[in-house]
Amino acid sequence: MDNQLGALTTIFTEVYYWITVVFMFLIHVGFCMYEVGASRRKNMLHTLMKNTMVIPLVTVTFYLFGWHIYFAWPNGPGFVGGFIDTPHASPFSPLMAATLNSGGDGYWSHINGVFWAAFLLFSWTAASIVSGAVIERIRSGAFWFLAVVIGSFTWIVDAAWGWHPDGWMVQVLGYHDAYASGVIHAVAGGFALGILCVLGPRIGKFGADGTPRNIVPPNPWLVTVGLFLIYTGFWGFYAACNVPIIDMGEAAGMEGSFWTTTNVYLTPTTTSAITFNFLMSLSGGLMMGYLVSRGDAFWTYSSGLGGIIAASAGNDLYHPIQAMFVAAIAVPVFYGMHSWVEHTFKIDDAVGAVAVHGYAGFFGLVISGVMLWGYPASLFYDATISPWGQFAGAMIMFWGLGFIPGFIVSKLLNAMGLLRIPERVEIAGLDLSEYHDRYLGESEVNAAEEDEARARGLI
Amino acid sequence: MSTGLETWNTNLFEVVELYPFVGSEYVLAFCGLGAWLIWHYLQIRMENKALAEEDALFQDKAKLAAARKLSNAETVAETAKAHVNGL
Amino acid sequence: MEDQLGALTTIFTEVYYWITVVFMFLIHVGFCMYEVGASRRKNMMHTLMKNTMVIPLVTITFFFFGWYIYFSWHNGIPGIIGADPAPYGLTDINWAAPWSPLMGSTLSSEGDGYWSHINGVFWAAFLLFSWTAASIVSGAVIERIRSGAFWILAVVIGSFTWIIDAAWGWHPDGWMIRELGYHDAYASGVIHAIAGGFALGVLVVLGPRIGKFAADGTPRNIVPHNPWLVTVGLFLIYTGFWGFYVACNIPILDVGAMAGMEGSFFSTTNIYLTPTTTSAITFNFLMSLSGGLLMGYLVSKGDAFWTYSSGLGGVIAASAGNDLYHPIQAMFVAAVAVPIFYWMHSWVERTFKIDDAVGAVAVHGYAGVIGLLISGFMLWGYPASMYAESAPGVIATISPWGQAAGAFIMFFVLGFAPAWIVSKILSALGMLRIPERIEVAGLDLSEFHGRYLDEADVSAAEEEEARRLGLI
Repeated sequence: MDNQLGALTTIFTEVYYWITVVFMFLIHVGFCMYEVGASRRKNMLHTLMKNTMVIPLVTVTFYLFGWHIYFAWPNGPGFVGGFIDTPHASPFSPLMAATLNSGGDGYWSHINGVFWAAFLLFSWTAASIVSGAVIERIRSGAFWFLAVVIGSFTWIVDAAWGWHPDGWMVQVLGYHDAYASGVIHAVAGGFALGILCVLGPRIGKFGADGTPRNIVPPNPWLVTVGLFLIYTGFWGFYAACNVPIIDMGEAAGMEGSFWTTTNVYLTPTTTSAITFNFLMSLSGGLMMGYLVSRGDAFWTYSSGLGGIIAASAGNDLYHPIQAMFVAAIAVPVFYGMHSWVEHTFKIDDAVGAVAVHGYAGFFGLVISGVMLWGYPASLFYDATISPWGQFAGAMIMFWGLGFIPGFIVSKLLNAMGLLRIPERVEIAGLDLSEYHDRYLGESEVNAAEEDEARARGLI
Repeated sequence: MSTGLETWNTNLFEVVELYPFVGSEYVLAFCGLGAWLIWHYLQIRMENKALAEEDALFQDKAKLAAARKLSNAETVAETAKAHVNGL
Repeated sequence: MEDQLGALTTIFTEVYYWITVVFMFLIHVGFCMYEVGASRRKNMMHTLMKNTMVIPLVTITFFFFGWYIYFSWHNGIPGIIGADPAPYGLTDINWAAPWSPLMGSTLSSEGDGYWSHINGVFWAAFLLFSWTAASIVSGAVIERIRSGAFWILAVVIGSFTWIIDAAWGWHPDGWMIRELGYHDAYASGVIHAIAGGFALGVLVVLGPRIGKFAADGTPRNIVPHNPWLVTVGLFLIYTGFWGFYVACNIPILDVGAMAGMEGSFFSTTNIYLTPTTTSAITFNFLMSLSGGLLMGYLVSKGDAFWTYSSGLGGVIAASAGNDLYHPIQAMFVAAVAVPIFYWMHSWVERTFKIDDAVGAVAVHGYAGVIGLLISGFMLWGYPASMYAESAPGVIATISPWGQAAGAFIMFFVLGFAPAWIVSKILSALGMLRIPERIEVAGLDLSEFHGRYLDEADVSAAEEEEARRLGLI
C-alpha cells in the first residue's frame, strides 16, 4: 500500500474486525458459564467439555470448507447460477495464509483473516446455541458431529444465500436480516428442535401423565452472569456484521465519493444507529420478560437476549423506540410458544434455546417484513423487503436449513446407536468417572498430608 | 410501504432519516414514555400482592421459623425436612 | 461523507466510543457478581434482579429525557435558575430530544453526517455512566429495600440528577465551569460523589438491616456469603473502568481554532475539550489504582474486600485531575484518600447507625469528595476551559473553593437531598422497605422454596423411572 490514507483505512478496518473477534470470545466464556450453571452437578464437567470442543472442531472445518462455501454458493448453486470462483476463500488459496500485496493494493491480505475469524465466531455461536438445548443426555461425539454440520455447513450455506450481497435470497426474495435473526438464530433454533425430536427428553423430565417437571439449574446465578457475558460479546457480533468504512458513491451511481458504514448487504447504516437499537431492544426484552415471567431471573435475562434477537433483522434501520417495542412484543410470543411446545410435543429444551433463538428469530424476520416493507434490499438488485419475502426466508432458515438437517443427521446417528448416553450412565451422572477419581485423589492427598504432619511431629 | 426510500442508487447526501414511519416520532416518544410508566405501575402492583401474601403467611410464627430454616438450608434434604415441618 | 480523511476521523471516533461501551458492560457484569457475593445466600437472587433491572429502566428513560437534559440544562434549571440555554432554545436541541431524527438511524444529517455517526455511541457512553451511578447506590441498600422502590430511585439518579450535574459541571458550557472553574475530568464528583451522597440519603430513611446493630449500638459484621466472588466482581469493575475513562475523552479533535491558533492542532481532549492524551490517563489510571491497593492493604491489614475497594476508591479520588496529574502525584492522591474514606466509613457507621452494606458511600462518595478537594489544590490556577484564553475573565480557573463548592453541589445538593426526599415519599407510601417478617425469612424464599422442591421432585422421578426400567 503506497497511499497512507488508503493504508490507514484498510488497517483500521482490519483492527475493527479483530476487536469484534475478541469481544465475541466473551460470548463463549458466557456460554460455558451458562450451560454449566444450567446442568445438574452430576453432569457439570461433561456439559462444559461438550460445549468447549465446538471451538476447535468448527474452527478447523470452517477453515477447510466453511469460508469457501460463503463465497462459492450465493447462487444456490442452481437457483440463479452456478458456483462462483473463490480466489481468497478456498483452503488452497495463498490468501488463506500470510500474504502481503495481494490484488495490488493488499486489501484482502489485510482483511481475509480477520473477516474469516469474525464469521467463524458466528459459527461457534450457531453451534453453541444448539449445545444448550441438548445437555445432560446427548453423547459428546454425536453433538460434535452435529456442531460441524451447523457450524461449518448449514449456517454458512444460509449466509451465502441470505447474507452475501449477491445471495439468491437477497436478489429474489428481497431478504433482509442485518444482524442475523434468521441466518444465525432461527437456523440454530430449528436445528436444535430437529435434534430434540429424535433425542427425546431427559429421564424424569415428564411425569407419567405428561406434565413437565422443572429441572432446576443448580446455580441460577451462574446462568444469568453467563447470559450477561453473552450480551457483552453480542456487541462484537453486531459490529462484526457491518463494514465500518467503505466508499459506496460509485455503487450508488453518485458522482463523487460517499464514505459510510454499511451492513453486510453493503447498504448504509451507522454504528450509532445499531448502538441505539441494541440497547433499546435489550431493554424492551428485559422489561417485558420481567412482567411475563413474574421476575424470574432466568427468563428475564433470556428475554433480554431474545428481544435483541427479534429486533436484529431490522436493527440497521429501525427507530430505537420501534426496536424496543419489537423486542417487547416478541417476548410473550416465544415464552408462550416454549411452554406450548413443551406441553404438547414433550420436547425437553433444557435452556429454552429453541424459543430464545428459534422462535424469536423467526418472529423477528416476519415482523421486519411488515416494518420495513418496501425498502430496497440491495444496492445491486431490484428486490424490495416484503412480508412474504421475509416469511419465506424465515421458513428456509428455521425448517429448510435448520430443522430438517438436524432431524436427518440425528436420525442417522441414532440408527447407529451413537446419539444418546446409555440410560444407566445418564441416571448415575455423566461426570461420575471423573468425580470418582477426583474425590479418591482428594482424600488420598489429605491422608498423605496428615501422615506427613504426624511424621514431622506437628500434630 | 413504510418509507419514502425506494432505491439506494440515489444521491445519499440527501438521505437523512433511515428509519421507517418518518413523521411518527412524537407518537413513538409518547408511547414509549407511557410504556415506561405502565411498567412501574404493573411491577409495583405485582410486588405488593406477592409481599402481602408472604407477610400474611408469616403471621404464623411457626411458619416463619420454618421459613428461616428453609432459607438457610444448604441441601435438598435439609430443605425437604424444613418443608415437612411447617410450610 | 465525501472526504475520506474526514470520514475516517469521524468513524474512528464512532468506533472508539462504541468500544468504550462494550468495556463498560463489564462494569455491570462485575456489579452483578459483586452484589450477589456480598448478600447472604437467602437474598441472592433478589439482589441480582434488583441490580439487573436498572439496565432497561435507565436506558429507556435516558433515551426519553436524560440525553435531552445534558444538552439543555447547562445554565441551571431552565425557566427557574439561570438563563435559557444559549445558543439553543429549549425546544431546539436538535439531536437529543426523543423525537429528533438524530435519535434514530440517520445518514447525512447537517451535510457531513458527523452527528449521525456520533450521537448514538456518545449517548450510549453516557448511558453506561448512568447505569453506573444507579448501580453504585444499589450495593449500599441490599437485603431490605423493595425492588420497586429502588427502581424508581434508580431512574431519579440515573436519568435525572446525575445528568443535571453533568450538564452543569461536565458540559463544556456548564455554569459550574464558567462560574466556579469546576474541573472533574473522570467524574470524581459528577458520578461518584453524587452516587455516594444519593446512597447516603436513601440509607438515612431506609434504616439498617435487622440484626446489623447490637442493642448497645455496636455494628455487627454481616459477612458476604462469597467473599471471593465480591473481589472478582471488583476486578471486572476495574476492567470496565478503563472504558469509563476513555469514554470521558474525545479521541481526536482539532482544537486549533478554539485555542486561537492560526492552523490546526489535532489532539485528544477531555470532556471540557482541553487537551490530554490517552497515554497520560493510562499512566494515571494504573498508578492511582496501585496507590489505592497498596494503602488499602496496609489500612485494612490485608482484608480482601477493603483492599479491592481501596483500589477502586483510589482511582476515584484521583479521577478529578487524572487528565493532568503526574502519575506519581496520582499514586499519592489515591493513597492519601484511602485512610480518610476508610475511617469515615467506620465513623459514620458507628455514630449515625448507617448500614452501608458494601461501603459504597465511602468508596464512591467520600473518595469522590476528597478527590475534588485535593484537585483544587493540586491544579490551582489551571484554566478550566478552552475558552479561558479567547475570553479571559469569562471563564474561571480551577481553585480550592471552586472545587469545594462543586463537591458540595454533587454530594449534598444533587445527591443526598433528592434521595432523602424521594425516599421519604416512598417510605410514607409504605413502598420503601420489605416487610420485616419477609426480611427475616429471606427475600428469595418463594423462589428457593419452589426450586428445592422441584429438585427433590426430579430426583425422585428419576429414581422411579430407573426402577421401572429395571436398572436398579
